[in-house]
Amino acid sequence: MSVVDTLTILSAGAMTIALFSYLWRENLAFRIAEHAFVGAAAGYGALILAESAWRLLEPWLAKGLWYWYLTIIIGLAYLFFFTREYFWVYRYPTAIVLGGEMGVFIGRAIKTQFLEQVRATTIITNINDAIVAVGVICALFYFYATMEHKGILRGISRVGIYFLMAAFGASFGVTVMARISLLIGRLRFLYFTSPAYYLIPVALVLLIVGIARDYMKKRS
Amino acid sequence: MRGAGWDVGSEAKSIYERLQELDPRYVYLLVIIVISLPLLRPIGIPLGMISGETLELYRYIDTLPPGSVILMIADQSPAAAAECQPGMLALFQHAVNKGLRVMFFAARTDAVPFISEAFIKVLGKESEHPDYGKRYVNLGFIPQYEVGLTALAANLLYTTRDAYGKELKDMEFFSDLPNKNAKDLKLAIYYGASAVDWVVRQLTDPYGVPAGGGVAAVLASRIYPYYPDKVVGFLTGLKGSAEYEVLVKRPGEAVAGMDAQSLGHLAIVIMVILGNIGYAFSRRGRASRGGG
Repeated sequence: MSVVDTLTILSAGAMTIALFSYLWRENLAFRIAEHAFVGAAAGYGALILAESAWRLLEPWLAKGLWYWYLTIIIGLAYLFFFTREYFWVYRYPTAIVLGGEMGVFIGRAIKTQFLEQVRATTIITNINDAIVAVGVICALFYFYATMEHKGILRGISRVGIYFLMAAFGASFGVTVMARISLLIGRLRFLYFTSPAYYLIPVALVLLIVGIARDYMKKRS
Repeated sequence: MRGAGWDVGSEAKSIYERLQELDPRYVYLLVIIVISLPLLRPIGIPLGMISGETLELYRYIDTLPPGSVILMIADQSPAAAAECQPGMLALFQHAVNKGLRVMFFAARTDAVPFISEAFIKVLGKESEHPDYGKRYVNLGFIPQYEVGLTALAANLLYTTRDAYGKELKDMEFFSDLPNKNAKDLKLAIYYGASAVDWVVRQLTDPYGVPAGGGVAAVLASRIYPYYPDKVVGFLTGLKGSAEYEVLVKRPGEAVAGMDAQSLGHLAIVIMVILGNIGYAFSRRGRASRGGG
């Protein structure tokens, strides 16, 4: 393994442990790792963005299609965000990007996520479809505030709450699963990647010293 | 950081009340221990039945004729990679085994290295591989998520060059595609944690390309409305990835992590139950003492 690889793994391990140290309490190592991560992520993202923008643009410019230079001008107009006097210029690229995104999104979203979902909910071929249909109607009714929820309407509303709670519970369950997976990923890295595992005893010693210091401070 | 209950009053507290006020750091420590033990000493908890969503995706890919083109969209952040990346490797391996053509692109900047990792781990090489440009292409990062995907769907060669600066029009990969747009795709697989919706909106509905997913578990509940009509199948988190690794007979990181995943869940379920018992009894205790 090269020196660069060794240093990369050691710094990745140190960063991981420094970020985990927040579980004990906020501390300097956590702060350094947090800021380093934000800075590195921003720098890396900017570099990839610039590289890919040039990769997409360069072939058109090489063909002599002058109007592609407009995209550079529009992109640079974002920098007027930092001026007071010409802040209005910044609104043009923002409007162009948002307008384009909205144009791409809205038409399809209405069909895919609204009309098609309504249609699919109304087609009942098995017990699962029936449960979904009942759940959707009852859950929607729970938010219907024009009529007082009394009698049978109260029952429908209650069923709606149970469906909502079941959905939230499922979301919570899979969120926990996701978080545990992340922890497993980082622990596997720390335990099985040489030389990252040498950092674990160092971290444990530092943690014990920190806890002992806290304890002494509290006593005094 | 201190737990909610460090302001200990003079009044004697029941065990249930003390349970409610436990310093959360003990919970963190317990979770780390419970997850670390099976990682260091695997116990081989059975994976259980392969879920229908995973099996459907496997069957769909398995029935595709050799040479079919599938699109793999890497949208996993480093945070979601622990769950999504093993699935991406297993799916790519399956596609390679079946002789399918695979086109990758990254929808976010930090997903770019995961495509390189997939090439290295499955093929052993990136653009130097003899089949690169014939059966596999990496388009690199395409900006603007849905807008970028829309442009790609309309013209598969819209980026003109791949991630390594090679001209797409010179590649054998695209030479026999009749439409050079999304109509030539047989499947689009999304990896990540943000949204599969835009893939369905821009590929499945307008071009009839079935969608698949290797998604972080948090996203699973958002895919179900599209399953099985628009999304043919998907891998849910680490478990789905582990199932696919088993199906393609390539046990890897996901399978290795499942013992820890199962025990971690067990610990959390027990803690949730204990927390609720503590809550119920402490309320009853307060009520019997005339409190709220």
